[in-house]
Order: sequence, then C-alpha cells, then structure tokens
Amino acid sequence: MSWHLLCHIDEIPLDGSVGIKLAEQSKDYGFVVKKYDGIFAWRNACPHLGYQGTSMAWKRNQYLNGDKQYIMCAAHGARFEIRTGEGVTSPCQGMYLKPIALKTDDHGNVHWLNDQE
Amino acid sequence: MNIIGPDGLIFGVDNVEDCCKYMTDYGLTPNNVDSSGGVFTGVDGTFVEIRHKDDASLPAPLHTGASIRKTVYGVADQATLDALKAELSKDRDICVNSDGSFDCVDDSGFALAFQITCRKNTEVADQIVNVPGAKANRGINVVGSIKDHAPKPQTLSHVVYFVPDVAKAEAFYRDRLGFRVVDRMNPLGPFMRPQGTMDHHTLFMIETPPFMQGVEHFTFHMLNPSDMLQAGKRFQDLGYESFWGPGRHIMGSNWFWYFNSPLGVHVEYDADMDLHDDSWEARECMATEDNSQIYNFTLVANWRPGGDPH
Repeated sequence: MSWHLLCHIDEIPLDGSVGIKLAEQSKDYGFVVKKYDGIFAWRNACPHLGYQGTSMAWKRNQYLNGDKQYIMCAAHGARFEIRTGEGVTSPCQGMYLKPIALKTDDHGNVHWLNDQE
Repeated sequence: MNIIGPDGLIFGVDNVEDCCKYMTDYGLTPNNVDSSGGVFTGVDGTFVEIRHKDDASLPAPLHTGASIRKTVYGVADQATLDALKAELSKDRDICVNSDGSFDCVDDSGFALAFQITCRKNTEVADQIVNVPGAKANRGINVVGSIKDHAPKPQTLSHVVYFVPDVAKAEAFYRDRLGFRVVDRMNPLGPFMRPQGTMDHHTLFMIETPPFMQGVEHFTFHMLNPSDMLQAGKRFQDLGYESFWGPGRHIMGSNWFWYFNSPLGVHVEYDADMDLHDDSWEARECMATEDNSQIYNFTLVANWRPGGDPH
C-alpha cells in the first residue's frame, strides 16, 4: 500500500475528471473528479451485473455525463453520484463505486493511495 | 417478410455534443448537425441519429431510461411494409407517418419503425486480399497498406438488446417478423437475421434482469478486417476507450473491436461476417471465454525492433 503522485490540483479542471493510470496498465486504475467543494476519487470499475470491473471512461480522462453532475459509465450508461459513488440509474442503481483515498500536500500536489499493492 | 435489417438507431442523450463528435470520429458522415443533434450515416446511408433525451420528437424511453429510443428497420418494398402493418396492427397500436413508414413497439418495449429501406447500393471491390494460388484479388501494383487511410463504416450491421424475457422477445421477431434463429449462445440468447439478409445476425439478444434493459452495443460493417483494424487503431489513437478486441468471434466469424461511448452503449466495428440461408441449422454453445472469440488482442504503440544498425 503506497501513495502515488497524480498531478497538481490546478491540472484537474473544475467539473472535470482525470484518469489515474498505472504505468504498466492500458486502462485507468481510477479517476478523480473536481467539484467546487472538493476532489473525489473512484476506482475505474463499474459494478454492472455481468460486467463487474469494466472500464468506465468513454475517452481519455472523460468520466462525466453531459451536465457534469454525475459520473457516467460509458459501457452501459449508468450514472453515479460524484461525492458518494452511489449508482442512481439503470443498470447500477443502488450499487457503489469503490473509493480511492486522496491527500493534497502543501504544494497543491494530489496523491492517491494504491491499496491493491 | 422481406426485412433487410436495421436502417438506423435513434438515441436520446444528455451529452449531444460529445455524442455527435464521437460518431463523426468513429467514421460516420455527419448530416445537419446542430445543438439539437444530427444524423450520422455510413456509406450506404444507414444511420445513427443523436437527439437530446428531452427532444419531443423521440418516442418515450424504456422504463430503465436507456439511451436507445428507436430502432428503424428497412424493408425491401411497399408490399412488405403493408404486410408488416397488417400483421402488427392485429395486437398493437401503430402510427403511420407522412412518408409511409410506421412506428410501433415490440413485445419487450423497444420502439420500432419500419420503412422502405434507405440503403443505397454501394460499389466496392469484392476482395482486397491476395491469396496464394488464387487470382490477384487486389490487382497488380496495387498496394494494400496506406498509412493515412481513414476507413469508412459501410453499413449498419447489428444491434444487441438486453431483454427481460428472451423467449418472449425471440418469439416476437421469429413469429411476427419472420426472423431466423441462426445460432444460440446459452444462456444469453439467440443470434437472429431477418429474411432480407444472409448476414449471420442483425439482432442478438441477451437476457438480463428487467432493470438492465437497453442496448449492449451496435455495429457497422467495415469493408474488410484490415479496414476494421485500421479504423480501430485510429479511433483509439484519438483517445477513445477500447472495451474488447480486436479479435474474431466464432458465432458469425466476424472480426470485432468494441469501444465505450458517450451514448452509454458499446460501439463496435466489425468485418467479414458469415452468410447463411435457410438450409443452415442453428448451433448452440455456452457463453464462455473460449466460445466468445478465437483470439483477442490488445493494441500496443507502434514499435520497431532495435535501432539503426549502420
């Protein structure tokens, strides 16, 4: 279990998302979403029945729906609350994304915890 | 029933601009695109239409809120359209449109339309692959590998539905629309083709709990496997997220490459699908990894062995 540098906080667009990538993997490990009240990080693993663990981005760093109010899985369209990770629409209503711990240091650099190591 | 296949798919989304950009980058030709959406056509005129989910022109969504709003089937002639109208009006409402097409809902709740097909005949070479012992298919001095080639999706191939009762759904397409079951992948569901095409499938259905009803993916045929690979490579280089492939299926033999999409469904390129007629006897297999493809690759960055040896 170890902390990894993602980027500077200013490199994450407000109402935008950035993928968390491990060097040796083709899919993002997770992603962060910046809102006016904080930054939220989730594993890039949809809980969709039969598709558990599938990547959710539709394009590099793109994890949100049209009005940027929800995380959207680009496999089958489920919406998730940005702050709680709760699925709020079909096909993942009532299911949850797995959180990733974040910390921001004194220089504004955002670090994420890989608890799978 | 001389139904040829899906002419078009209409989606209602909350990210119209992203979806329009996506379908253009996929390789379809954009038509009449503005803030309300647009129509994106393959070479033969088959299409994907993008509209905002609240657009008043769209049929009501499925109870799940899935983005698919209508599947438009193309039929060969007026006689087929009339026969379908007579058949389906026996037990459901149909709405005849000013252009002669008509709308209805299938037994699973998917909105359908039937029209005289919009497919245009396209002139393409039969084969571009040179085969040892065969005639020079591509032609003498014709090169096969073109770096900047941007392959175009030719024609809408198939759509895959998640359905709550696959036996009921199959019965509708088989008994009411005359589709044939070509193969089955158990316990998911049937690969089906209408009588107006020999393509292995234009419809595949997967049984799921009712809360998952919607579309798994749709696909356009590419001219050939090389075009499919080059289109997918180009698409992934633009940043789009590969879901599965490239690889080659067993049922249908089609080469495939699936991507995530902002439409909330998978979008596939395929090529070289098997053709069947009514003499074919449907096979069955279980949905395992080894039955789902012969091979499955992952794209890596372009590379060359070593450096300059001089």
